[in-house]
Amino acid sequence: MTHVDDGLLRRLADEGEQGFALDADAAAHLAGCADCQTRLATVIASAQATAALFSDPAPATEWGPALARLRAREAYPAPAPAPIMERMLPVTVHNPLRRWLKPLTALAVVALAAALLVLTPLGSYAQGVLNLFTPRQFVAVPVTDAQLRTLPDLSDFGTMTHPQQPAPRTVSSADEAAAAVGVTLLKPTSLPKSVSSQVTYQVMPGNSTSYTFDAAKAEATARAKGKTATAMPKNVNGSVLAVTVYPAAFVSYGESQISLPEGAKAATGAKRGETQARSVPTLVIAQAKAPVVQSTGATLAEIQDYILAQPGIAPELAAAMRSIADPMSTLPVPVDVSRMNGRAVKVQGVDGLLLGDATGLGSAVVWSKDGQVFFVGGPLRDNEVLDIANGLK
Amino acid sequence: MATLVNRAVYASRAADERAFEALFAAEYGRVVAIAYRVLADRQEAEDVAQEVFYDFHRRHPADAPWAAAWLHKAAAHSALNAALRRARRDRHAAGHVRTEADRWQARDEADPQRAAEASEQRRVVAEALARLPERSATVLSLRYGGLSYAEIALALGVGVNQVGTLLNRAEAALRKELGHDTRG
Repeated sequence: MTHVDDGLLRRLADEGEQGFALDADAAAHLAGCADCQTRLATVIASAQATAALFSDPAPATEWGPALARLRAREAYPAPAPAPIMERMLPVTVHNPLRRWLKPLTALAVVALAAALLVLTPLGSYAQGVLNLFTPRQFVAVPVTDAQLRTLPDLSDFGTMTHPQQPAPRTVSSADEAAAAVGVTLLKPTSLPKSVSSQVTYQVMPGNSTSYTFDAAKAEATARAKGKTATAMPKNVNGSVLAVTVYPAAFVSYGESQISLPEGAKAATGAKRGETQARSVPTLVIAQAKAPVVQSTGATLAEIQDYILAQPGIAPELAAAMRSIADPMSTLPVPVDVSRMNGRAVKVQGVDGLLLGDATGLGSAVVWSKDGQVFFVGGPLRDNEVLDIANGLK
Repeated sequence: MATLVNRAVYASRAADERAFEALFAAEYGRVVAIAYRVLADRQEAEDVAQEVFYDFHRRHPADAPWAAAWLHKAAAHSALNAALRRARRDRHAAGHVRTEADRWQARDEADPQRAAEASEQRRVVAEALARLPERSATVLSLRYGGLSYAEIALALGVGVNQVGTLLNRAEAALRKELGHDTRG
């Protein structure tokens, strides 16, 4: 039996009382080894001497005022890019998928926006319900962090019902996932060698939420801020937007190692230039019936005009939205230009949007076809993702 | 459609802000404690904590699994940088080279309360700590800022069994540094 090293003895000295114990072999050795016992005594004395140097207690702090101070800073940033996609995905904190989805932030916005689409044909339903939106294609709208920061808060001029956060569940087969989602799951015909053949099926349940425009609330909010509210058109006031999201199937393939971007590296203590590897799924294919957005009153054009007239909307952003040739069939996808790039591609014979993480970490493609929305993404190259997407049958 | 995009962005922002608040509540005191080991000054340690959380908030989602580890490491790193800047500033101040004792005396005179709180040992130890190689200074500030071995391992990106060895080495370096100082 080799001697117990000083590092372990040090931990025993420091954390023995908190429950740290040597493994059985090392403990048995220590019990019978005078040398190790002497070194343990030395380490304990040394640790105590150092602890005495730092015996001055750290100051008591109050986090509340400190957080208020931080928020009062002039350039208090918007929260770091929203991992919306992760919240939609049937994964937990420990699922490695989150790690590569973190940087794919615009993708997150895409996915949720895609999930808010109407794909049913235009026209009125009974009770005067309008389908607002029939997207047949996606287009990237470049946005900056600053523009996102100044977006008006929807709760300033209306009321939203908050649906419960749906919890994903793992199912045992493609058939079970397909049954839960109510679609025929497409399968890839060929996969790159780097994609594992080990497959996991998960289902995220659907939910619905609604938003009611409220002119009185808009005026009250503006008054409280000492401003005048943008006039809310009669048609928009009281109009209810209803968003229904259907269950989605997520098919994940195995795991692979990827390098983390710089920010994440710093966290794990890796030196600059060192590669910090993480395990992530090699491929995710998601599929769902296209969600439905309906309005009880206002049309898309009326709502868009009203929103784009709000003071917080950057003129460039408003112009980009207005320049979309066919707003009834095009989904604008905000792409944070500092983190992502997006370009139009053909997928399965229709227009899709290919998104790449600016650091080259991965890419994904989204499209809609036959009343469904599709997502294919992973730590893969653009052309690999496209080939997989086009090969789905 | 803008509505829906806003909704998407906003739902996420509100959730992120709540997550950030929870992270701040859980880690603020520890970030200050780590910085305090290096700076031995409550105000300066709190200033460092402000910068660390600001930077984190700007760059990373609050529910990142590595959030706490990032904050701990950044606390030590930023505090060490602040200590270096302070030393440089003090050397150039008032057109003459001041000794550490002068500097502390000046600070204490400027703030009677600080003088009352001041502990000679605290100052000397912190200054010696800040002169150590960064890795050694970091491991000591994390440990005596109140982190467990497991937390130190995460912050430094090393195996938990290496932490004791790093601590032993850093402690020896600190003792050597202090030996020079206290006998001088």
